[in-house]
Amino acid sequence: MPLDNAAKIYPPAMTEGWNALFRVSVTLDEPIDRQVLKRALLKTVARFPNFAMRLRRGFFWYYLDRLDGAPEIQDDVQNPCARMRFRENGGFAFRVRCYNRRIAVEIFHAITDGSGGLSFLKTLTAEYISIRYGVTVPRSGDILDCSVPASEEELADGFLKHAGPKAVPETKRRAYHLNGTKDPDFLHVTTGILDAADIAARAKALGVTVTEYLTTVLLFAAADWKHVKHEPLQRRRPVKATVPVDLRRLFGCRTLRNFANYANVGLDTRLGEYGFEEAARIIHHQLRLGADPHLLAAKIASNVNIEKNVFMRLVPLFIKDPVMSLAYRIEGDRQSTTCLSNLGRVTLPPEMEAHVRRFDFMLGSLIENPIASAAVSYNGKLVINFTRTIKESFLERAFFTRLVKMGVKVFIESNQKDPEEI
Amino acid sequence: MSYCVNCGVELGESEKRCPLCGVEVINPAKPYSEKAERPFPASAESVTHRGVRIITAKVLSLLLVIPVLSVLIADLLQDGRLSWSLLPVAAMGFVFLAVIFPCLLKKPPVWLFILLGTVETAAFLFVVWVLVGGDWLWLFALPLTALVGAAAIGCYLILRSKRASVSLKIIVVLLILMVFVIVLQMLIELHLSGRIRLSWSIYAALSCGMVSLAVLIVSRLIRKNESIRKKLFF
Repeated sequence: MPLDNAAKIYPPAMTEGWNALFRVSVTLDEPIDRQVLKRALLKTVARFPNFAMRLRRGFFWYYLDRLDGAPEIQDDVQNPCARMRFRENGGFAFRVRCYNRRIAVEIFHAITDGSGGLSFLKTLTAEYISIRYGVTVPRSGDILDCSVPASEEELADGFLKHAGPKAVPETKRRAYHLNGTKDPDFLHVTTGILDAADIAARAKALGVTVTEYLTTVLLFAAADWKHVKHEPLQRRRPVKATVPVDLRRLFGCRTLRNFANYANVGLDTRLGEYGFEEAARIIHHQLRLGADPHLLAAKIASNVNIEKNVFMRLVPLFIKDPVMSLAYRIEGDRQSTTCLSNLGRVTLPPEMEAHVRRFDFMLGSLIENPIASAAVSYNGKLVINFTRTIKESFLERAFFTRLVKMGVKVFIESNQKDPEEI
Repeated sequence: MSYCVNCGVELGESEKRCPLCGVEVINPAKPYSEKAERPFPASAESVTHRGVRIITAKVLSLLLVIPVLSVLIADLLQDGRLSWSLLPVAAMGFVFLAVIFPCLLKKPPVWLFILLGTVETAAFLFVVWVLVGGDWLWLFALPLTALVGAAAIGCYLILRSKRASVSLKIIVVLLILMVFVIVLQMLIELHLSGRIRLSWSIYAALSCGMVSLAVLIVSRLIRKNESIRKKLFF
């Protein structure tokens, strides 16, 4: 199976110490039974053929090759999303990790995107609960029925199918870059738990969505950072955040593989101070424009054109590999300051809701930008995870203290080491 | 239920310090307990890096071995003795020391780098002198190498200095240049005719001296005189 259009960049970009990972996890009400989880995993992987794949090098491109079984279940670790060596993982490009009551799935981005990963986790949890507690969980939406095989539509490359008639490449401008003391081998995770209804009400009062509201707070936090650093005006760049857009709903596609694009929204703080309300409005309009299906189709078309280009196709992989790696390193995420990926509200059937306490979503370290954030809400709680590869926790602090000042109740936990351990 | 006094956020029970600001959590009503369930286990996955630079250095060294061996073998096959091949071997040794060896160091200070380069160059010249012979080494090549190295280190140190003002940096670099030019011509004259007679270097040295004097005067004036500072503002 060839890699889908968005996935093509990730294998060349990965290095000895880094690959593009993200993680979705679910916390249940009782400790996890690993034997049951193992059985559930086998059934789920059989339903998601894009997960049962080994990454291989072809002569012209990387490709995915069928693999039977499922990876071994591992113990969770303190630093999630550390680089994955597929060979240590039975060849699989994802791993399942267990800690007390939590099941976590860490996935290499070449297999699927956040929504696909969440669908996998929800199906795995449904299988686990139905085996463990002997209940029948109704399958609908993205909780898939493991007794039927995957359809052709679910394994199609949505990008090829939904590319627009005209390719419009994106104009890329560099954004302000956050700097700090590098700590690349330990991913610092700071989790903030907010009241989802409260945030939704606040966003509604401003006439924006929750994602837009959080993005605005995040951009203000990044602007604060800039302010603290006293960057001279000429060297300041606009603060921008990448907000991934799930294309499945927009294009009515049911693929299990990558099918997301992104909108790059931001504030140019060189122009002066913005008030919170006007900033929220600006972000709202920018995101709406960025999520226009026609524009996205044109963006997809330009990406697909690169892949379809005869020269690009005929160049052997050993030449393409370093070139693409370099291009990703140079172009990668220079055009954004940070990233906010919101999976939205997770809904479950009551049979599962009785056992599921919490969902988490986090991004592994990005290539250039040291801090990323990801949110998901379930059961009235909005969980937002900041992951960073620098020691300074300024951005999270600015983000959460701004929320506190606005009157939002924030609960914080983290994976920080004890001072004695450092 | 503890709050961070600095950030105002509620903290998880397992947090000993606030993850946002590092302030210690002190709650007399609810002291920190080790037993609280942590959100993540205490053991971390270790990520080992195979140093890219070390691998590169090793590969380059191996690649360098090929021409060295082929030159030596070619020379041996010719008449059973090593003669001309020692020159290219010395050159490649120089390449190794100057290019590949620094790859192994993590972050060498630049002055050390220049110093090593000077010593390596001198050693290379010495080897060439042993092989070729002549009277150019002791009175010309080695002093010249030392001169270039010393001037480079001097310029680097003064330019990197944080305390020195811009005008002082310009003046010192110009003075170094002045001395350099004069000593250079002395060495050349000594080597060519055995006598020291300065000619062209005087003009170069004089102009360096005059420019540095001008910089000195202007910087003094600017510091002292408000009206000149106003005229020259940028």
